[in-house]
Amino acid sequence: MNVVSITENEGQVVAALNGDIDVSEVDRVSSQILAAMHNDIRAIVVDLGKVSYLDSTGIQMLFDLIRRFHSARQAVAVVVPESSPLSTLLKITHVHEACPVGPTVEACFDAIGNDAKLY
Amino acid sequence: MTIGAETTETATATGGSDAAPASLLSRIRASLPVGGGLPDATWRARHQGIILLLWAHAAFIPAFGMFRGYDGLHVFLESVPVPALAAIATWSSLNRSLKTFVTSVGLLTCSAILVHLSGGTIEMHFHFFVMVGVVSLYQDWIPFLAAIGYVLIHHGVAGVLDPGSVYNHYAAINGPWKWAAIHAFFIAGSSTAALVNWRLSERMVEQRDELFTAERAARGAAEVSANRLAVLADASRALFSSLEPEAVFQSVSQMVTTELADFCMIDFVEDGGQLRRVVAGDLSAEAAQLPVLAPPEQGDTRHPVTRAIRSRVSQFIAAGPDGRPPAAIVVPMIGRHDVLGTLTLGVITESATRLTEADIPFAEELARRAALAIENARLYARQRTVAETLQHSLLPERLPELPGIKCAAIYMAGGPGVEVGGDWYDVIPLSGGRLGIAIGDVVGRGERAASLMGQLRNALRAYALDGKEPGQLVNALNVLITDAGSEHMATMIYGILDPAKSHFCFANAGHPPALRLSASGEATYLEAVGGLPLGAIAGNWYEENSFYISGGDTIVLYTDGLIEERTSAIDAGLRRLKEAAEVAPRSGDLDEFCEGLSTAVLEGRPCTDDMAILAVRLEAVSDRLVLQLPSETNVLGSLRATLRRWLEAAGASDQETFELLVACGEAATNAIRHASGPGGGQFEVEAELDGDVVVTVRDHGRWRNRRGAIGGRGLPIIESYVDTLEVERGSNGTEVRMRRRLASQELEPTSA
Repeated sequence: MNVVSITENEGQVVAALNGDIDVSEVDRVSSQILAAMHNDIRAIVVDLGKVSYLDSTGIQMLFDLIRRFHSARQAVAVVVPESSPLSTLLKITHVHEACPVGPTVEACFDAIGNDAKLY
Repeated sequence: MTIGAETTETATATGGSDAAPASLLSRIRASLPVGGGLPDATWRARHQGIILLLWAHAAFIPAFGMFRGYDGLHVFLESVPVPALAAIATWSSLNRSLKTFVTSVGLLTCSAILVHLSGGTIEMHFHFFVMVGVVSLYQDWIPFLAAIGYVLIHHGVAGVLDPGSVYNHYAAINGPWKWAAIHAFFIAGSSTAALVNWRLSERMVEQRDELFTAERAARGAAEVSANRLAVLADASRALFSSLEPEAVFQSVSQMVTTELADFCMIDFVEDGGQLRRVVAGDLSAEAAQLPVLAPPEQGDTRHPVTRAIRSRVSQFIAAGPDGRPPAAIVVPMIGRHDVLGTLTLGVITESATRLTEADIPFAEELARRAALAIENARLYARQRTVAETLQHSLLPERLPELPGIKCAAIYMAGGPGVEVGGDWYDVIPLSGGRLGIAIGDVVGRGERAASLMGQLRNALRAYALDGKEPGQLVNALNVLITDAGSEHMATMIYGILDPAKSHFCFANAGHPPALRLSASGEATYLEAVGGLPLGAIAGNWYEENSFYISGGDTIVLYTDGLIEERTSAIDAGLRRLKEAAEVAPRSGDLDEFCEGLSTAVLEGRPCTDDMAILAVRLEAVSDRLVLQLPSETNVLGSLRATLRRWLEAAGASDQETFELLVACGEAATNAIRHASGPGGGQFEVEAELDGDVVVTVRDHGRWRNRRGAIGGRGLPIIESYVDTLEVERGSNGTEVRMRRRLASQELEPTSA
């Protein structure tokens, strides 16, 4: 089962994750995302809309990705719909303090559109 | 020992030729007849005939005398010695030699009287020669010596006293002794002729005896060799009746110890060049004197066993004086390429002389056949090992241990032989707590079928782990098998059991239908949208079928070896399986369930085809969930799937389920990651409902991290998701207890 599907459009990437992401999956997921990156990419949105399970190792993976993108001067945001059980998890773990968290992909790109100007 | 015997023989022969000039006399003596050798019965018969002739003369002589015109008194006085001698020869109690002598003298006396009565005519002298011929029948020296002496003395004495009574010519009358000598010379000549004749007949008897002895010996030898041929024939039969190297050795040793030797040893050359010794037969303490009985030391090139192996030449160990130590034969067992070892035959009893160098060819023949049989046995064993290794490499070493799902399988190889069967099964844990289960059967047997089976199994694993759904996967395998151009076909079922969604989704490629057995004991075949076997048609489309599976249900997959037999239709087999499944005990161990099923369906008949059963049971949700899990991160998915089912049954909402799964997952991840030390290989998860949901995660190791070890982000997550969290660290491990009240439970007290 493909846990990650990546689409790229004019320097903007959407990495859509799905299924359960736990300690046994995080390395594969993050390396799949990183493998799709290159210098022309300006903004990345990680879509957790179809993720059914995420734990602290997954959260740690998100923080690692965010730090790496930022150090590569790439903007990043995370999609979590309001209805998703994950939204409380992201609040508890303060992901929104590291990058924008929005309910949809479009909302996220809007958010980092502003952010991106910073870089 | 035989060498000794031969040397002795040679020495005798050499001594004989050295003494040749000195023994001329003895050689003449040897060429002369022995005499007196007639058997008593033969002598008596001949003697009676000769006496009769003597009595006939006793009657004829007086008549001849009267005819010649002598007066009665003269005739009586002259002829009376003949009946007198005849009477002595007939009735006296003289011994055989004296009777022979008396009879001979009697006959010669007849000749003398007849010569006298005839007036010394030459013609009547012929009577002497006839009588010499007659007495030669005695085959003794006595009558000859008597005849020569008688003629000499009679002619001489009588010729002097009355020449006219002996001779009728002047020369003789004037020189009676000279003519007596001449007559005696002719008698001696006649005797010599008779002697030669007698000697020749004696030789013929000797030769006949020799021939008889030789023939008897030959017949004895033939019997021995016939026995040994029979042994060799038996050996071949026995040797090739078994393919077990040990059994082959037992056969060899039995043959040898009954026919030839007291004990038999085989020194096998092992792979590393070392020798492995196997001894059979009766070995007493006395036998230990035999040098071959001590196994060769490392690098001992003089040891008979080592020499036989290196030179490929049989070694004979002669017995010592008095047969101690006794003899032994060491023959190499030469295989197609190498010396496989040696066969040692030895004797230890008083019959130590039994084993001779002449037995080497027999021992070599036996060793040759044994080598062939041993090589065959080894080849067979190697082939069987290869087949078994191949077979086992194609089946999972162990089935995965999963929370909430039990798996069991049995595999029975059909019939004897070294061919690998084409049946296989596999159980593959997938993401999200789902489980891929597969069973298949490549048509045919042997290495090619097995290799196709191996390819299919590997491809199936790869596709399954890549997330292919059953329909996609079976279609992909069909492409693989048809593209490979394999002439083999295969039937198979691949299905995914999703405990969280309670369904079983599968595709069937020409395989006998899967059986679902409910917790209540109702068995139904999961009828599928039919598919042809893999490899039948390129581009064939395999549909996916989905069935609801509830807790306690068992899915039984099997191969046709279970339900098919030559004598009955496949329907009968399917009916038997269904009936057997319905009455099988469902509460017990799933391995026992599989065993019971195969026993009941096969009804004791031997399994002619390969047979495999794979049973997967989705455990029923109970009030209290207890899971024993291996400390591996890949069980987390199954743990969540099982816990999710349990939480849903307990009335948890989606959000509550998610949060409890995360909380439990954090604790479980820590148990797997940080728990180490003895007993660290397993951890336990328990969930129960006592008004609250209580989830306990217990491990048997020590957490290295002091602060509860739950990773920096893990602890706040758990704390936010549960009402109370207790972490209890003991010397035997750590227990994390989490308690959470469900919204649905909060309503109950007020409604009650």
